Amino acid sequence: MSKRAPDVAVLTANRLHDGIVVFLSANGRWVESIEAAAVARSPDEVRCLEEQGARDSAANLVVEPYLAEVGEAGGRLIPRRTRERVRVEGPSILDDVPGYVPAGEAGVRPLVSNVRVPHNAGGEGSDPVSVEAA
Amino acid sequence: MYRYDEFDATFVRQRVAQFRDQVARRVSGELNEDEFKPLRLRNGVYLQLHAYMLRIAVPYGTLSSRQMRKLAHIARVYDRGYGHFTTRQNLQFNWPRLSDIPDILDELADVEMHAIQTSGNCIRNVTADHFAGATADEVADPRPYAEIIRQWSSLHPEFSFLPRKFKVAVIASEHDRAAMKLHDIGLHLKRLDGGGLGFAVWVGGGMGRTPLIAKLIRDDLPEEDLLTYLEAILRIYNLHGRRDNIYKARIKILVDALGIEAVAAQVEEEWLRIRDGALKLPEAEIRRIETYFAPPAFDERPPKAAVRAPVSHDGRAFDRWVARNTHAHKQPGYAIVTISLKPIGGIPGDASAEQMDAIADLAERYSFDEVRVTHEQNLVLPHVRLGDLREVYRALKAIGLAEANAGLVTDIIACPGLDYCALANARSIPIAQRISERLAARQDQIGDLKIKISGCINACGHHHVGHIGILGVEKRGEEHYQLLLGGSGAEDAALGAISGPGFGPDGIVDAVEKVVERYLELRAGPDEPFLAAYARLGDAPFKEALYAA
Amino acid sequence: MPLDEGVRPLAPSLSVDLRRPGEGSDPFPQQAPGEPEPDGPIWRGSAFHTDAWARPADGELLPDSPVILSKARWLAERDGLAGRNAPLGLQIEPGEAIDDLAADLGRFALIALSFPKFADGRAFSTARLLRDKHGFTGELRAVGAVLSDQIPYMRRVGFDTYAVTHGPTRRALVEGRIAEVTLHYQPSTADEPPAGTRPWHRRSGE
Repeated sequence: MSKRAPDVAVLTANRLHDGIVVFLSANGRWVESIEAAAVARSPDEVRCLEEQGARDSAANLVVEPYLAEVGEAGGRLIPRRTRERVRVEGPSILDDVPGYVPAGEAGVRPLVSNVRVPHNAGGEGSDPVSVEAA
Repeated sequence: MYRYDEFDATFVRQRVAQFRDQVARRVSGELNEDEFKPLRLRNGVYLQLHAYMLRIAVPYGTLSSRQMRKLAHIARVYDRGYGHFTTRQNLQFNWPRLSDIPDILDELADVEMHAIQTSGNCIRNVTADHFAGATADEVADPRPYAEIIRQWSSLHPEFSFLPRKFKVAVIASEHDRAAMKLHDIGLHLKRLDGGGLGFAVWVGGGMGRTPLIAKLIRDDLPEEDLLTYLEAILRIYNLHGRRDNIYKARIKILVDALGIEAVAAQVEEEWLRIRDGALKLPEAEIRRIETYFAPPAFDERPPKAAVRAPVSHDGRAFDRWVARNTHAHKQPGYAIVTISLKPIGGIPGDASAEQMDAIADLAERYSFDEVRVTHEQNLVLPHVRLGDLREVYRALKAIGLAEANAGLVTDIIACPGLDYCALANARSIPIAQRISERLAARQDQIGDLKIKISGCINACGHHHVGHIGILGVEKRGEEHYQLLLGGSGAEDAALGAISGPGFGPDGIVDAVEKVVERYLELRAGPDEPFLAAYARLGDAPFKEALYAA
Repeated sequence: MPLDEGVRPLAPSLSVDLRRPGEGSDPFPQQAPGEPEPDGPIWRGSAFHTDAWARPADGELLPDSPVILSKARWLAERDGLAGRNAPLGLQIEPGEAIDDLAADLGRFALIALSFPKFADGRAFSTARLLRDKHGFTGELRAVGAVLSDQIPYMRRVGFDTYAVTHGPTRRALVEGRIAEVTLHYQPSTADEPPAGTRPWHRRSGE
């Protein structure tokens, strides 16, 4: 993690119930696509993101929120560090993984994307709810 | 192999129920992440970059076909269609949902499996020689003792919050196929002077930030004293291991700091106090556990004539595979088969659900229902009749796992690295893939050469003991790689030495090739493997190849 | 007994073991100072109690009532405390030796072992040595970071009482919701009857 607050950053975390990488969007929801992430461009905005992350972490929606420095190129957000690039794009080697079946096509259980809906995670299976537009 | 009785079965069910409760309390917020993390680790649940990861215990690397099929099923239904076999003989799934994990654990309990203590500061999966029970060069099968240690260490009330993780390996041969000397405790089963079985006990090995080779703490421990001695070691470690710095918390640091004699003296004192207590192993009990590992009903008829001359166009490929991927079995007429999970350019140690199912079928049909996981991320069919080798080869070819490269330069060990792991500094898998592609054409010519790649200093890829080791680091925000030479995890245990300045992702592949080419130039002949040539030549010629302008 | 293919192995219909730690396993009966008290800090048996013990700082005057001393204070004032009537207690921090106190242990009605962080498991071994090696029969109390999931282990290594401040742990104790694995693969200090086919090894929590 950067030792100083990044200049241009998004807040990223892992969703608690399934571990999937998510980003905090401008409307306070956690989304799976970095393109919908809220971008902080000033220390105040950075602090605002961090505070929301801390609140949502305490509310057991996400785990380990942190600021990821991003650059902007061609209208797209590009994380600066390899680590975040890998988080955004997925493992770089998925094309070579034997038998890999992407999310949503796997087996029986549909993935749930919207963490804000109260959710029974006691092992009885996810209730599929409206999928957040990525 | 060991079969659960009612006690074992109830134990894992209760554990699943306990974890289900802990997950519910986490989701409800009764437990925060700091409180939940050690609990989930002790059930094998990590948080990786993209998802959780579930590490399933494969005790001493032994699986039945039924268990392998269940792993394939879990991959299909709960994960993304594949699993990864690890350097501790375990299996990892990379995409489980936390909310599903209690159900996954219940499914594992159905086939006598679990994820207990595969992470966390506790005693981890006990590993063993993957040729145990099949190789001619063992004194006896080490796995009964591994099973006894597994039980004793499961949810041990005193040793569940150790300073750091604790890894135990058991071997029974002069050939160390389990990297025993790189473990916190290594046990070498042998015949003692009186004729009974016992152990040479090694302590304080480990890789990571401070790699160290284990030291002999006791040369002649009778088998009945196994658990009392281990309990004494663990008690001394639990009390005196450092807790101020996670990089200085393993028992290897304590042994290094106090000296092996001082540690041995403390252990002996405690051991003598408890030696005759409740943990003294009754001989009848050891023998009883051994019956679970009794040899299968081998076909005692004289073996058929040597494998027939090849009739198909891939006959040479089959011969190469037999020469490279089979190992002599103690029973005439049989062979130990290594299934390489390192297809050229592929991902080391990964297997699809379909491949797992196919291997389960092979195990059931051709290997007395048993398959092993090696610490070098391959699989083993331990008991295959010579006459069945051709059919096994054909079946492996059909699933893309017939590469004849066991122990060759393309049989690379690589940790998941930055593609998966939150601890990593650099990716390791793509490096392995590219080295494999670069050198595949010459792999037979190159001969035995173990390359091991870790994506960070935690050394899950065992890079310290690769003949060629690669360590991924982060340099100015970019992935960078150090090269090490001359390590070994076998009975000639040695730590690799850093060659010099590191390399970028392209440079490291070139660097490995240069080292290999220099070896080919300078070796005494095709019968001098890389490690021997390195010992003879020293690192100077290799450094020159790497760094001379 | 080998499991049959496809048969779900027997298990008690237990999803969560509802047994309270300490219940039915009090091998060290003693005077129970303090009344049951819902807000009391000390869990003993099946209830919270007030704490009858004070823990004055090392320099403070000692009242004429049960007090817990640090090891340093005990060593410094040992002789002067010879005539003391009120019960004495000792608190040991992780990393402090107890072997040098072996001869004195009989003076203490209570020994408190500290878990400064829940990950610091040294007191588990200290507890076992106090019971098994030194034969301590007084009250053994866990203090510090005492949480639900450690309490079953604490009981098994010989603790009798627990100073619990963590809210959810207190509620779980009162409601009897500590989920525990009641079958044990190894003998330990608490009074556990041998279980099943391997009495030398296996224990039952029942």
